Amino acid sequence: MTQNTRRMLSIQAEPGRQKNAKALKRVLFYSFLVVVALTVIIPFLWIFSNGVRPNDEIGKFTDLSVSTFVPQQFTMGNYVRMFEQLDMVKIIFNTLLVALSVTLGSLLINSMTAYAFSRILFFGKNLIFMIFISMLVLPIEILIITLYLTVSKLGLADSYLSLILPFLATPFGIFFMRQFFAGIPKDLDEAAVIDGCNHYNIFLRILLPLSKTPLLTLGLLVFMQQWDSFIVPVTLINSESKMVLQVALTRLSMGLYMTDYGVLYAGVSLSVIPIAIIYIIFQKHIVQSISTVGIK
Amino acid sequence: MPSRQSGNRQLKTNLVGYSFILPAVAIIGVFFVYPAIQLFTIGFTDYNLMAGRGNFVGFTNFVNMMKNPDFINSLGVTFKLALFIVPVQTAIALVMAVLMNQKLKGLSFFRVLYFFPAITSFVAVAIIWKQMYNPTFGLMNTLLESVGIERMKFLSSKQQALLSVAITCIWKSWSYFMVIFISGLKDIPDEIEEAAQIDGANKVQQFFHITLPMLRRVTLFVVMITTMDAIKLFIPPFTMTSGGPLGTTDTTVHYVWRQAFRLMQVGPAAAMSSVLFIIIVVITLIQFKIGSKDNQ
Repeated sequence: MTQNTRRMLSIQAEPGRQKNAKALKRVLFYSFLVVVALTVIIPFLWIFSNGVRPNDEIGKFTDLSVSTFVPQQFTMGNYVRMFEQLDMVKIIFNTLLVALSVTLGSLLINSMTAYAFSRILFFGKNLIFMIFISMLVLPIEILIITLYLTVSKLGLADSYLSLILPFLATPFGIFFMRQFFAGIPKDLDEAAVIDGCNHYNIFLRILLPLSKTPLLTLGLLVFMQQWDSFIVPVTLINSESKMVLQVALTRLSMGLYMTDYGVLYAGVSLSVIPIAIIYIIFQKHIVQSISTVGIK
Repeated sequence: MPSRQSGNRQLKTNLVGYSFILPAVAIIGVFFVYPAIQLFTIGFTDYNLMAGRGNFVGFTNFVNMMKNPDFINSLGVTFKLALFIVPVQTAIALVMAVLMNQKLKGLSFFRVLYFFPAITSFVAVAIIWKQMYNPTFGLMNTLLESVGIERMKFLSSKQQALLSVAITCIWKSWSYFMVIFISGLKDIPDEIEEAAQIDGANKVQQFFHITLPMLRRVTLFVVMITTMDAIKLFIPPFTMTSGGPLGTTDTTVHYVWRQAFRLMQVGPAAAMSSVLFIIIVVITLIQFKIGSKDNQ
């Protein structure tokens, strides 16, 4: 081999080697993503699979084998026992009743309020808006003691209304909708005013129909927040008959009922799956809403 | 008389505006503003939930809480948690955001997958991880053993419990903040990064000298929210440890809640809550000051 050809070969090899290095980098990168994905998936997978195995199989496998993640004997018995031990139908009904009432009610009230803040020049507007916004720094965990006292004083203790009423207007929801309305050109409603429309009509007929996307997004956020809500129902509700899902789960886990691990795993699975389905259907909306909230 | 006419019109506009915001004002006034004020007044009484009333006791509650080792301990636990979670979670979220913000195939699949813990309720996450940490059959010990590390006690160990709780919180939330960082990254114009590349900046230099400064506002937002989330943690101690072992995971919100609703000591609990609130406000203001200082 002459010197020349050797040099030529090495020149030709150069891009090939670079390509290889790049491919190796890709492989390492994707392997890293898969490892991260496993840290996310494995706990769910383990719980879901434990939810469909008989109790004597739970805790039996403590090595890294297939049986640890895949039941040897598939059973829906845990789910059946869960519905026997707890009034699950009632619990799910309670959870949905509260979550849906708050979602629908707060969408209407928050967007009404947001409309006034973005479109009507009334006396005291900025002051009231500032007071609302300042409530954003007051977490419910701080307020729960006096919220309990207020709810009791109003005679709403241990009622569905105590879980619904306080959350029908939220500073966050008002702020969120106001940001959206502020982005809609005012020419639209000014034209409507010339046509003799009043504010009620402009809100109901023009702005609300334009707000389907933000309403859906805010609605999803509120619904998921309500589905997950814990400190409020665990504090305000005493009756078993008004218990919501998250509170029921902690009861299962803390063994106020005998700790039946199969039922516990089934219960956790049951609480995760509906939200997971909603997330998969609407994930673009949900992810986008979090992005916009973060930027503003 | 034009002036009276316009005065009338303004009055009418005011009334229309108030009719739009009335429901929100009523709800936020009754269920947020009033309890917020009451929090600061009831802290000066010995209000007891069983008796349903209390007498004015001046600063007694505030003096007592400073001498109360359990309350001081809970503040320590809360700040240890925040000081661990805030930097670690923010760093993970930021690095993952930079990695996920490339134009490569399949990344959106991973992003959707990573987000699952963020949409799962905290109660479900806490129960899942309590099971993962189970000393006898938990999956964490299975994984540790498979790589030759000794079994651990996790939540029942005084040394490991708080770290175990913190890891659970980070597992749930890092991807939420990754999404916020990604949307921040998308706002950085491509030209800036291209220019840096032409000037010969490597990836690490680019990250520290361009990406990080450009993300300043988003990072400030993420740090503020994460700090707030860490300070108000209630579900993990409630569900996973009941604050134990020996108070090592007893966060302030959890401790105060038990004082109010298990021991019925509403007056002292309200005083503690109001102190925690003032701490939150001070921290938020300091972060805001530091974050916006170099912007001008």
